Amino acid sequence: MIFQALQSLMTPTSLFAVFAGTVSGVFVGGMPGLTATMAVALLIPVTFTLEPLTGLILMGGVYCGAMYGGSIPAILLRTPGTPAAVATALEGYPMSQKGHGGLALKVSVISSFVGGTFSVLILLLIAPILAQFALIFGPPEYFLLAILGLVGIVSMADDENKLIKALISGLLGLIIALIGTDPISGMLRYTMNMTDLYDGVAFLPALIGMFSISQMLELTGTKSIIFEPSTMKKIKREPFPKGLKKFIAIGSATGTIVGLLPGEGATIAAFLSYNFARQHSKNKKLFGKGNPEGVAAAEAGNNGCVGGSLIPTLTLGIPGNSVAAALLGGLLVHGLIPGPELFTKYGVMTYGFILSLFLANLIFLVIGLYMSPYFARIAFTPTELLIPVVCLFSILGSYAMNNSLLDIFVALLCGIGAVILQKTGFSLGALILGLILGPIAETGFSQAMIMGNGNYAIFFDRPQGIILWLIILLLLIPPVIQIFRRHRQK
Amino acid sequence: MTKRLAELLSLSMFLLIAILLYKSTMNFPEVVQNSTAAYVRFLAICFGGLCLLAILLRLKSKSTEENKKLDLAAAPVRFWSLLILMFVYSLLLEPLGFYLASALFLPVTMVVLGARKKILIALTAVGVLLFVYIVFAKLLGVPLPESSLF
Amino acid sequence: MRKFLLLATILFFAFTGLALAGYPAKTIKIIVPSKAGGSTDTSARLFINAAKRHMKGANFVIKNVPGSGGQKGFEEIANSKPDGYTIGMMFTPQIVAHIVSKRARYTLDDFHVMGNMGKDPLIIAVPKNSPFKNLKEFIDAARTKKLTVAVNGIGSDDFVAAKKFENLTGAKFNLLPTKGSTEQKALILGGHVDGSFMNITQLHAQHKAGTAHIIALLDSKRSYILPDLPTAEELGYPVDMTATRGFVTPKGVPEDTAKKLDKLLEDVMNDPEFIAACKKDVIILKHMKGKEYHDYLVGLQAEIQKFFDSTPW
Repeated sequence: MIFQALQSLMTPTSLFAVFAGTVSGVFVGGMPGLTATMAVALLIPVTFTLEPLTGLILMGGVYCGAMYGGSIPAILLRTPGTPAAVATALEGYPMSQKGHGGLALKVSVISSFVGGTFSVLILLLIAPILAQFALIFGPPEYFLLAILGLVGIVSMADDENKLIKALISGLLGLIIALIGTDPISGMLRYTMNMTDLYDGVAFLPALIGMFSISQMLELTGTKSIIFEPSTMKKIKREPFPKGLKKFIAIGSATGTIVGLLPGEGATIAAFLSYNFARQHSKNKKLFGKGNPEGVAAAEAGNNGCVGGSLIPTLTLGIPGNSVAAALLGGLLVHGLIPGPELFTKYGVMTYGFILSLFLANLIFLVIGLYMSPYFARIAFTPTELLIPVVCLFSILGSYAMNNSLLDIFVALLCGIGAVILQKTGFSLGALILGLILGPIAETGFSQAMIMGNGNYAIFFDRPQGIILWLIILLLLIPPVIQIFRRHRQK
Repeated sequence: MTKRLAELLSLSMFLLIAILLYKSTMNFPEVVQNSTAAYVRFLAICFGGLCLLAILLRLKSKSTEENKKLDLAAAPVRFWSLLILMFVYSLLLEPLGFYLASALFLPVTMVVLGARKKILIALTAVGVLLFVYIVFAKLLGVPLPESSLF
Repeated sequence: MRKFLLLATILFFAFTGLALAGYPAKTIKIIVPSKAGGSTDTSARLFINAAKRHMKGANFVIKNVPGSGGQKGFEEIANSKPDGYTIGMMFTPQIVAHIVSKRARYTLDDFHVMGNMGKDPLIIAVPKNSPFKNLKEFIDAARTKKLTVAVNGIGSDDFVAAKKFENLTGAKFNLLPTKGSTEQKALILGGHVDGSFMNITQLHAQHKAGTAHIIALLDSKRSYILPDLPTAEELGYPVDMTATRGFVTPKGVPEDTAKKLDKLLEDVMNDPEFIAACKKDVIILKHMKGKEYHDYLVGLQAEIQKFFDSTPW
């Protein structure tokens, strides 16, 4: 059957569809405010006039391409094209500032390719088994997963003063995430009667503000993004740094596993991978100042989500995230109902689709490698032209996400707020981690409390929960010991 | 304003937020007192406690590092004008519509930030607008802010 | 500089297009109060596909206004210019539930109802290895001990259906609100809850694949999607609850334009290609004309008001 699928993929139409899908995906992912979800939804009616396989391939290409595309502006301009690229921006942009933008792009595209390919391989080989794994996660486990992510805050700090500030920043993020509708009672809280806030502070606009707009404000004092223009000539061909394999592997595995969990997104996968990499790195000091290890882990992580999220989508009909949900819509349009039949009766098409994802990964690898020296030139644009244009797209992107004017002001406020917080020594990374994980932590905690009839025991008496507790402890102990040692030395 | 003062100010503001947050959970409905209200109270206590701790540590420490002036921007004039221009632009989006507002925002901001070559300014602005029109409006059908005047 | 402004102005007017010949002279915007790619969004996109065949020269664009259970989108429809170039999708019971809970800044009178397009009846589902094999066992168990049941948020159709069951049978549910059908599916398939109230199109595939078990349909008639599934009424529990999805415009659209739009919906509903497309996507079509649908909405609002008065949320 796989051979047949391969045959159906090797037609000119299919090949063109993969190519067109991937290229437009990279583009859509790279523009803040245009999302893969939007593009896939746009394609659904178009696919009616096409063969079902062609339509699916097109959507799959968009999905793969967009996940990678988000990292390009994140690295070059600190403007996340997708929320998932924020972790990449943490390391990639400092690299650009030092004149290593081209190298960061190269690391990003290779890690994306490996992460994406690995997860699709998993999807191809052991999807049904892993789908069962996704189901053992209930509300208590989601809460613990959020804790697991928040533990990363501790490893972001290196002494107790910074630790306190990082924790305060993380909590501030969690508190901002409270704005909106109470997940249990449906009561509105802290919304100031603004309809646009009923669903909480919109995520992408806040991130655009904190990263892109704050950075553009700071750039007003400089002539170009790169600190020392003298490094300009070196940028051309830099050798690929050694020792990144470990971090790409960490990212790919984390991304695939997190992608599996319904509702958990690539953003969390990227941040978790980033934190794991930070823990395992020998160059911890370099993190936050442009460490290619961070870029590798984060990008492998968010692309690993692609294959991971398709596993529950195709086998159980539970979409792993919003793009997968739109893709599921595309499947249903053609009368393809997720489940075992998809792999037997419609096997040729399903496997054709999965195989096309490999091709999509390959296409963006080639495009990325070929184009990255050209993209990297953006960093040389004089700021007086660059800043207005990036600001315009940041504002347009904040608006286009939910078609809401309020979101623009959210972005602007977050922008100036981020500048102030950073200058007073608070941690932006911790704040964002809190913001991302807040809704999951709260919903998981509250739902678990309802399931357990108000008893905290539910967090401790499920085997899957205990395993998560163990991982949390493993992650927590080393940085805490380190901070204690530093304190003694003083 | 010194860095130390700015820090103390923001920390006390956070402390106030923590107290208000804790108090607000009293008004949560009975059904969630055990779930979401408990979660919010936990956050408020941690947040308030840590802020208090940070304030105490800050008051105790006497490092000279902290007495430096807080400078938000390297080029304050450009920094604040960019921020104000962005606010004005956002406010103008609704009455003027995206294209007209942007056609004003781009050149003005470029000039404020120090661009002097007229051709470059015009080319960039027209290029960006055309790009948005073709890709956002025509190709992807993304609705842009529309004018309420015309 | 001046030249540039002139050029910009010319471009601007060229884009918006000022030619005002007969209706439709410009693009018609459809406000969809949900995320791109969801089933409401898909049905709007299918509608456009068919509508283009029936209204020559018409162009449509979708504006997704997701969030707050559709309220943001409903408000935007109600407040948009009544010139016939903005129409919107709406869904029940959320559109009236927001009015009842006094959150909405609109009333039903702010809309001209074009008509209903589809429906999606509710079901009760249990995990595949649940001890309850049918509705009777499920309800009997709920009478003795609180069963944990997933619903899609407070005030949603699922929630109202669960409350209806509580009122009718004296059963008690431990209601677990979720963020939507994805989460509900995961809870049911993973066996984390005793049961779930949700829509039939959200779970029929899992039922057919054997990964979840649907025990009752809350509709007056059996559904063609799962003809073997008994209705709750057949099983002795007369409860029905259905979500519907229709089209509205803001109030005050010129009468002949409104008529054209109503006619367009009717034409689309009778379009064989559209019907075939909806069958595949398992959107259950149910046409109601404007007047009929408006009456339905008013009735629904009164019904939900009753629940809100007894247990406000």
